[in-house]
Amino acid sequence: MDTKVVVAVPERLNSDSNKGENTKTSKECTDRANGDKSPQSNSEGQVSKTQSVPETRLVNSYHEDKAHYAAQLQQLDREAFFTFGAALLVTLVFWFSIYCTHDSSLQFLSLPLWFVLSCIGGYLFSVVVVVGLTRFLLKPCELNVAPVSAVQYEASSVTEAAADAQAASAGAGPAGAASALSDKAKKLNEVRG
Amino acid sequence: MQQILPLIPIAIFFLVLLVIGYIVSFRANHAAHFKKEYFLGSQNLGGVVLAMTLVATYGSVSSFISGPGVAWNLGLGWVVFAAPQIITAFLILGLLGKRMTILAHRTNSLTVIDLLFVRFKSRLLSFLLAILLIAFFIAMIVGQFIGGAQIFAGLTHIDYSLGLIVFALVTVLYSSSGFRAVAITDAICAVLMLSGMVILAVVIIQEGGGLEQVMATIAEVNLDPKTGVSRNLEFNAGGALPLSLLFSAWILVGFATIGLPQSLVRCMSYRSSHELHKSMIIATLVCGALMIGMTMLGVLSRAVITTMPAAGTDAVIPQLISSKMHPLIAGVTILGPLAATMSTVSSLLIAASSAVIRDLFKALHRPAAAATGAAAASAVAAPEPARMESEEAVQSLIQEAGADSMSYREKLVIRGSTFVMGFVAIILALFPPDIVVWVNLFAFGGLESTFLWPVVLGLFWSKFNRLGALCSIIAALTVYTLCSVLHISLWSCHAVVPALIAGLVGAVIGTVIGRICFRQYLPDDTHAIFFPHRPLDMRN
Repeated sequence: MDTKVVVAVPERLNSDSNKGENTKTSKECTDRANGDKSPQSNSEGQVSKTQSVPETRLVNSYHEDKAHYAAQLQQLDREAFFTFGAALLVTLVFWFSIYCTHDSSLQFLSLPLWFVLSCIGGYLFSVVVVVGLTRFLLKPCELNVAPVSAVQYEASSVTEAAADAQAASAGAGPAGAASALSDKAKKLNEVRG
Repeated sequence: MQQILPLIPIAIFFLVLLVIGYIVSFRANHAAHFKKEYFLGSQNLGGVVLAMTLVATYGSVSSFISGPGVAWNLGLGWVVFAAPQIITAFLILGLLGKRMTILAHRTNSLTVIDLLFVRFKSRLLSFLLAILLIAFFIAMIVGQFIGGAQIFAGLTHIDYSLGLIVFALVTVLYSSSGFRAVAITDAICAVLMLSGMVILAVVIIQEGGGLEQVMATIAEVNLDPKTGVSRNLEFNAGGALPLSLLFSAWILVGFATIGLPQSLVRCMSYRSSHELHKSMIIATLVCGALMIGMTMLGVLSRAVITTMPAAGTDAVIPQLISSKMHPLIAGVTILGPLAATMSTVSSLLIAASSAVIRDLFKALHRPAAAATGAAAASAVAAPEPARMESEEAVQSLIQEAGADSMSYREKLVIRGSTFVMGFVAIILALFPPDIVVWVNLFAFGGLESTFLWPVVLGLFWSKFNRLGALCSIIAALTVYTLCSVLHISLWSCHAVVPALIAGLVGAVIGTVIGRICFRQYLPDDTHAIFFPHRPLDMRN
């Protein structure tokens, strides 16, 4: 499989221009790639000569998908940090309760105070922490991302689409280029299912 | 009649499990993606089932029998030892849940080792992990079978071997229906574990004369001559549980449980992030209630079972059930420990089966190279041809996992592998060799030592490479085995603590050597899958 474009992708993902386009799901990206009009056609069905071939919907779809995926993983890094922090907090509260009360002779429900605070209190505290974690710190995210086979096909499609469109443009003019891009978008959708 | 009554709820329970297994098996046969359905339930579990299956997998026969038995002897200090499990459920789901699901979708992975293969592109590593996983899992299954059968036979007064065969065969049969059957039955098992615990609590409090009287009775036993206070009411059991051991429990049954593959595979099996968040709350509620609740009941049972049973502390809860309950109620209560055992076994069995079919079998049949030692070494060093070959293997794995159509024979082979593994475990449980019993004792910590760093560092540290992963596994397992066999204790810590420290050191040293000597940098395609949000790995 051709992976040469995949190699170039992370550099583009790290550019600032891509970081703002992280809100669309891969499905939205797919829908956009499946537009019935040819990607860069204007109202007369002509391909604009001022826009370069890589700036097509196909290319946008590909890069939006990758950018969205990268943003998701960045969010997951944050969530992992919060979750680990929450577990540490529960641990600290548990041991702090024991440290402060293990010498006390006070009892609650006939049970030693240290036990009530650390084990029963720690358990209830962990539930509260998880509720807070899921409500305020963990965000919903699209899990059903496109498989790598589709993404790699897409990557090679971007290159091939550009080459096809340039070849068609040289032979059949702008309409031929638009047709070539449209075919590529259809194939891409087939791969993505 | 008194002997038949406890069998009624058990028979109904077994029947329900088999019916669920049959229905789910029928559904799996007609699923669009058989393998995904069989190994991951089509990644479509709801939050409640996910939570329950996670807790039921985690809670085993020792949570119901051995743990409370030790608590009967040591008192509330053992609850402190078991308490770290309040963080277990939300930690693994919150830390790895979404990441593993997204990566599983991205790479079409069906098992944890699948995912690690895509990450490290090393068949040697996959092979090693698969072998260790299968060895530990089989030993754990045998241990669970023996423990479960002892309870089953002891409380129903049927022959031990017959009890083991019936109980184990039911488990193997419904487990061979696939992951969804395991998850659904796990959910039922978790409910039965909770109900068993509640019944036990009511009986203990009633028989002991109320909570106040129970605690008063416990305050009179195991007195410390210096302080005059019962050791059973102290957080360290009067020194029997050193602080370092209690702290290391937070590693063993707390933080390091994120390395358990039977739990990790559940992080790849749910349908949406909303369901994950829901399951984090439910699993924390249920897991804490079960683990703290059952251990505490062990402490309280000292007021009812006042002398050590002849068979040791493991007999405390069975004796309580058989001597203090109506036979029918006893039959319902036994379902708790039986469910705990069966849910753990079924989860281990389906994971072991996937390791054989997906990881071991595929590792052996992927395009050559890793089969020989020299080639394996070359795969570690990863010169260009070996790397390209590994990439081809990754692609074949991905394409094969996503394949839609499967013949009846292929489906039969997959189901058959689960059944055969279960059958082997039954034979080993009937005639347990010493080595299996020995491995079972160390399997839990061994699995953590093996998987923790490859999984955690593999998913969060982009520079971590295959030599680092190999060194980590070898160092952790070596230290763990030495500490366990030679009883070397690092400040009274559990052996898993020095093992994980050694594993981390091995991971760092191996990674550095791998980068400097073998130029094991993160390939760009792997970077695009696992770390697209981080800078590219610099080669110089």
